[in-house]
Amino acid sequence: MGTVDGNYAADKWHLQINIGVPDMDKEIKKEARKQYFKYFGIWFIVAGVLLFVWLGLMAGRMLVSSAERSNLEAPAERVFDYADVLTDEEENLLRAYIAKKEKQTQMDIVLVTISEDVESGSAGWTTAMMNRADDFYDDNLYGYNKVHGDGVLLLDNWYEGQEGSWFSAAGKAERRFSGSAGDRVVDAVYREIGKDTYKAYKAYVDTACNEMSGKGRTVIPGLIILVVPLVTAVIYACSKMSGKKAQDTTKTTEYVENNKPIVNQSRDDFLRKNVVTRHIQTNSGSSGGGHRSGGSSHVSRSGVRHSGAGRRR
Amino acid sequence: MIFKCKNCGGNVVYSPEKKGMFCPYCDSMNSEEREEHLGQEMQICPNCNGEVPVLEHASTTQCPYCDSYLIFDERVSGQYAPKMMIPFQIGKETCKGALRDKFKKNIFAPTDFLSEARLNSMQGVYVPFWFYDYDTNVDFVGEATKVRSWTSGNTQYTETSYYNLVRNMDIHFRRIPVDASVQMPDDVMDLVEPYTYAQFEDFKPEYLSGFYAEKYNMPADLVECRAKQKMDSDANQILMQSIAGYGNVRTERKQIGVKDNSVCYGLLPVWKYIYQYKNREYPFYVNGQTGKIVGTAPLSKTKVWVYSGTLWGLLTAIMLLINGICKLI
Repeated sequence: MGTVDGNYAADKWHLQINIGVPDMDKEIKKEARKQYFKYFGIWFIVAGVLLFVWLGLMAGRMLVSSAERSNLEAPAERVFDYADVLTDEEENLLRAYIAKKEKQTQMDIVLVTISEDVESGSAGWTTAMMNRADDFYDDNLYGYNKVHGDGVLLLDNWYEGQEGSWFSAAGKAERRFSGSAGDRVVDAVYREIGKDTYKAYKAYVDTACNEMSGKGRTVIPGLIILVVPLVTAVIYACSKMSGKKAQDTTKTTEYVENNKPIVNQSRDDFLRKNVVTRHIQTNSGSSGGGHRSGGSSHVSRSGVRHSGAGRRR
Repeated sequence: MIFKCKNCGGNVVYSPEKKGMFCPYCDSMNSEEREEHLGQEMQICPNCNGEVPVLEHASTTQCPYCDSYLIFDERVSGQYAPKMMIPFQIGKETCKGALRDKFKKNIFAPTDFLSEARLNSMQGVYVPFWFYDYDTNVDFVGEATKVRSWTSGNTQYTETSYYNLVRNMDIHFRRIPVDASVQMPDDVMDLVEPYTYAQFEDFKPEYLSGFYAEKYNMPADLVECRAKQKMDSDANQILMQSIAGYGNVRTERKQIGVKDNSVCYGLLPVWKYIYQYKNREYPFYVNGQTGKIVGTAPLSKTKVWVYSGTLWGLLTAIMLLINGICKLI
């Protein structure tokens, strides 16, 4: 039988539909699955690639975190309580805690408390604290992977009138703490320092480790992750649901002979005019602005690159 | 009557694509032979003597046993003889393609909505129409304003000019179509328009072979109000277009008078596809000449939930993974 343009084949199809209903249901479901995967194909690929990258990074991190400390020239001591603000028990607790965290984060974690007049020299408080922190780290050859390698140090000054902390980072930590992450460490210390000194220094260790591992860092805030996909899905559903039967495409002159009327008379006679005036009031305004200070990445006396943050209490 | 093939005796149908009579059984072109069966019971197929169910207003039908298209002479002659018609210009395959193109982005439509099996149930129907001619005169007098505004220094000037408008025009409306079928929804038939009248031809029963058709079942005077509404609306719009450019128009006198009118009967082609989903009918009508489609795609709630849910899940997962990756870098 040749190709047919009329309707006579339609009822034959109906018969076929009725005969094979279960088969057709299967076919429809198969087709629906095909449509679904075709439609979301790119999305699944993107999500799959991201998942693959994430798993790869996780595996890489697990491998790295099992690496042993390779710098044997630095002292084993991590807590230098020159200001004597911690009890011996607290110092020991901190040492044990730092030792545990160092293995996890693969960086040296050093705490130095002093009670010194750092402003007696020509440098101001910030520069003096920064230099002392960097020099302490460099002179003691700290660094988890190598001398002057990965590590952080908190220098906390208790001298009356010059109280404050400086946080210094080197190696891979220098790159991680070059932004506002260093300020977050100092903030964490200051939140506790007036109440419990031990807790404040433990907060330093925790925050530095969290920032290093990325726990405290999010590119997309949680609220956005919660709201944006939901709103997008709702808008998507609504946009695909709306539909009009059809547009009215019949022109006004569709049924008019020659598509235009016969104009017998068309006159526009000017009658009168009036003019209204209005005074415009003008205003002049001004705008203001602000500034931000950035992070501080610098090279210490020993030639080691450090980043850091700190301020007076 | 029935059109049979001289070569094989099969039922010959009109093919829009081939623009001629075509025998689907032996692929012959223009091999039709008209067989009259006057006086014979309309419910008996002249080809196979099978009993054919005949709808009240149908002027053609298809025999359920031999698939032949039968044309009922009594319903296409005498008072029911159409003066003119536009034969189908697009065939079923083209029409299916048009439907697929239009609704392919409707991903929430049920999966089998555009399936071959479903679309094959589409029927070509010649719908009866009344065509009205009106010779009208539009007379209008009114006052209109034009507003111009400019600024000089600290002063803004607004100038309002007043005009007296006079318009008088003859508008000859030709063949305003109004469907004469109870079965066809009026709003849908209005949306299926317009048809290109250059393809109007004198009525030939050959064009009906292969399609369904109806005789008019609403008298001309009953549906004329719809033609008058269309005429009135178009005349008003033509008048408004002639006075466009003015800001505000106050009408002093407006008359739309009909000087002469006439009516004639004809057939227009429409493809009809009824999709049944969850005990509801979703009708689609396609202009059999231009391919314009009228209808709204059905919604599968399951698909809405699954697709929207997937989008939500994927977006959330992608954002979480981006966060996770950034934390690890």
